[in-house]
Amino acid sequence: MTKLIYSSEYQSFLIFSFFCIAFWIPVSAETAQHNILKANHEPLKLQGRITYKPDPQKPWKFGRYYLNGPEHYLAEAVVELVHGDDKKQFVVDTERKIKTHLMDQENFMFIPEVIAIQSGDKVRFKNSEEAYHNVMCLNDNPPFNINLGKNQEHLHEPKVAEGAENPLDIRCVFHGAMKGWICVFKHPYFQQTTKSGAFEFSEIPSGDYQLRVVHPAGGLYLETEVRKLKQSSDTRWNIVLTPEHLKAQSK
Amino acid sequence: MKNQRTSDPAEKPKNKLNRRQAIGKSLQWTGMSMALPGSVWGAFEQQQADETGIPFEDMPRARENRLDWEMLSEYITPQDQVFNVQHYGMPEFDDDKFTLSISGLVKKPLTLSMDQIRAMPQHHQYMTLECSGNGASKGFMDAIYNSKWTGTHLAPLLKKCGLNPKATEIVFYGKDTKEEVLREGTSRELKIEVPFGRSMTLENAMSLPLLLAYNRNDQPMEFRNGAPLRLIVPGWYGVANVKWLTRIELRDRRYMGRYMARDYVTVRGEKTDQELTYVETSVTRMNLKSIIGRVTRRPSQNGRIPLRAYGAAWSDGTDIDRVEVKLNDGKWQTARWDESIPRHKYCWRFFWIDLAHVTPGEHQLVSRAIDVNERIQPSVEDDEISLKKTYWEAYQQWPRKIKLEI
Repeated sequence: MTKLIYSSEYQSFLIFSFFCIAFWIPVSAETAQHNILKANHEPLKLQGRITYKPDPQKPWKFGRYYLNGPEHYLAEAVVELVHGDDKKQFVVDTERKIKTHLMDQENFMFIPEVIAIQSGDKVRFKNSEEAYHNVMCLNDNPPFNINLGKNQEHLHEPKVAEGAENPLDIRCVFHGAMKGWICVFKHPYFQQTTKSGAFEFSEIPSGDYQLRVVHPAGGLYLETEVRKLKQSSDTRWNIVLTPEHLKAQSK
Repeated sequence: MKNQRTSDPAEKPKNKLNRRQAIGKSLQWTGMSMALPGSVWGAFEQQQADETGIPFEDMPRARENRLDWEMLSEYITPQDQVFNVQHYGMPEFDDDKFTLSISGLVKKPLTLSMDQIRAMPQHHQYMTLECSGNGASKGFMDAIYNSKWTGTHLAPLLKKCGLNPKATEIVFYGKDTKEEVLREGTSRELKIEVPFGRSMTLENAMSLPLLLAYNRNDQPMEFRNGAPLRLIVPGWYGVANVKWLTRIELRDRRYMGRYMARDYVTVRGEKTDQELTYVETSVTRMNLKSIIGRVTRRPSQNGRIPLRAYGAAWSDGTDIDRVEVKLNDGKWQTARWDESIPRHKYCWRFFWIDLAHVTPGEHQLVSRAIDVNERIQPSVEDDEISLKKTYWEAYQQWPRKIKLEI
């Protein structure tokens, strides 16, 4: 027996067994996990376009800034993907790299007017012109109110993250027409539409979802119906906004 | 006065609507129809179907509750383009218990409910109301609107109260109040809760058709614009038109509230005999002013582009003789009045002008108003603007920049 245990054949057998166990367990676990995802949560891509259909009797006065092409594609809207089941939450990568977004002040405007960020990201406010400006936000917690002279900056991490439903209102106290908005999300499933009204979500698990669309500058807001999204289904989701979706403008 | 109409806007013929709609369809902004809703006294009937709006360069986007100059098409400003400014915030009070009192140096003080005020003889006042800071920067160019106000005249009420001969000053108080701090940071600091107030001499009050207004454009006035009762002072800047008016007081000395004596005070250098003296004056009457509201182009002809400019001019009620427009470094050219809309003494007038056929590239246009007394709207280089150290009464000429492509 002792001979057997210490024989070179037996040693080879042990080494072979060790490697088999060491490699088989993780490989089979990964395969199993992959199979589960494939069966229930295979990531899919969701694409769509947002258009706005104005009242022909009273064209939307902000259309000249945000609508493009004869189809009236809506630019600068923010689209949020929401679970159809309220109890479900998106998994958030806590190790993700924190981003810093720029909101400049130029020509008596916040540029860009609207930014969409993930909770934890920072916003760098900057004044790039001669005029003395200010950045005020009363619906963040705590609120903030900072004066900015030429080329001065202020770095801020928004704390209130209420997504498309309640963007942070950014104002300049000295110039009432200067308005900006920050949509802060607790998850990464948000998009801003391009000039052609397009948005795209990738790597989303199959499931029931709805979309929230907000256009703070134009005062538009919409929550869609819940749809089942799975790999085999149509993953294009086009949305048409109308004057019915005009809500009271932010303060 | 040519084409003066005094009919109610609501009586506008129906076919007008169709014409406006037709123009709206034809006037394009980068492929989009302009907002020319069916309206009363639509302006600029001379617009042609092939005109295309040219956005101004380096200007901020239009906003809700501000006049949209590039889309200007209404003599009476729609409510969604009406600005509001308040210095003491929006007051809270019970509408049903709202009263107006007239007290001080009167023989019979009076307190009136809104029902009693509405039961008094009704008068209309057409008036352009401008914030005195409007035009101070390109971020604040749109705080102006034109309205038909409805209410009752103040003068008969004052007569009814019986004025004490000692009364020389009349003060108007709003419902809005705030704690003011005087001599802040000194040993003589004083904190006092005060109502928003503005005043004028009794002589001024009796010479102007002051109105206690409760309707705007035949609709109940919006709270943010001063409902249930607002003082309307034709020809004076917005701040004089006290909102939520609740008390009128006759006095025998000057009222020196914050918005008469400390804020809304223009500080301007005046040259006399080679000396420069700075003078502080309260912001009261509106100044002569004009602005180009929008510029349109037509299809190019032999590489040159036909330009047309539209705009508005207004004053404190002094007749405006003409508006002149200058393109780049060219000569001043007299614009034409838009005669398709009515004329009211205290309201803006719209003008338009066909300009030269220009080459593609950047161009600058500017307008100036000239009144019947030959007073000329100053440029930013003229002393009355360049020596002004405060931003109120911003009535300087305002150049507009455009960029044209073939």
